[in-house]
Amino acid sequence: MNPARIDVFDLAKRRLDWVERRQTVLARNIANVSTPAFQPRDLPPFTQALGRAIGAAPAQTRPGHLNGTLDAAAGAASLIRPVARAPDGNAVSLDEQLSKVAETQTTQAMVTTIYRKYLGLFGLALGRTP
Amino acid sequence: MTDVTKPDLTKTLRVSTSGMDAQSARLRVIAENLANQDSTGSAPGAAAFRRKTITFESKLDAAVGAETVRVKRIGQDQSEAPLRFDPSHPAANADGYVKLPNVNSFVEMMDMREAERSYNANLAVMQATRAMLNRTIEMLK
Repeated sequence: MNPARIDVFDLAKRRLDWVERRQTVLARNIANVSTPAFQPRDLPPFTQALGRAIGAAPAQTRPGHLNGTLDAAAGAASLIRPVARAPDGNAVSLDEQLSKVAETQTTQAMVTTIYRKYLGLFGLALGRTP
Repeated sequence: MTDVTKPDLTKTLRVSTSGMDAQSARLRVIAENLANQDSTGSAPGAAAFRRKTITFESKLDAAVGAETVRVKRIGQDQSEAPLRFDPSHPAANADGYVKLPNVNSFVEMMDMREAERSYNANLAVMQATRAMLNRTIEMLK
């Protein structure tokens, strides 16, 4: 990638996609904190998701077809190694999951701020006072 | 039908809501158990109230397009009912023993704390998701 031509908007879009997807995965883990034998999942790190070429996704050719729940491009949510396991087989650790939620929230705040700043630069270039 | 592969923060809110619903159902069952911890039968030798149990499962909700949690079954605790010697009780059997509910208030209290904690965790995710949604809307300004 040519560093002079980094597309900040595209990068921000991809990162926000990843953040939203991860938030859904984490919400699901926390919602299932009392479900017997439930295994928590997580997305692969963003750098990995970014490096992956867009894979082939099954096409929906008839209205009755169901979409897969996993997106090939973003990387599927995979099982994570459990920290501790309850007697009923549930392996969700609330503190771990909540710290991940906080992390995701911070990332999203960072990306949206960068996006707005970058957008502001265009205004500056066009001679508008910020 | 909603596209399940599309990331969507409102979908995340629905998942958290289902978690909160499940925990409230659990709290309701705990309340029923605690309220009935002295409910014995009235006929001689009659069975007393049995403790209720609740289990959850993760299911794909086609309307939401995400896996949500729901109540799988509300069952009964099959453990043996404790006996108390009280010949004057209307539910006493021929030997003078009364069957008591198999509710242990300490177990219920612990369960209640856990349900409360899980409910709060779901609420925290919901607040985080809402903050993220607001920040996304802010980008338009």
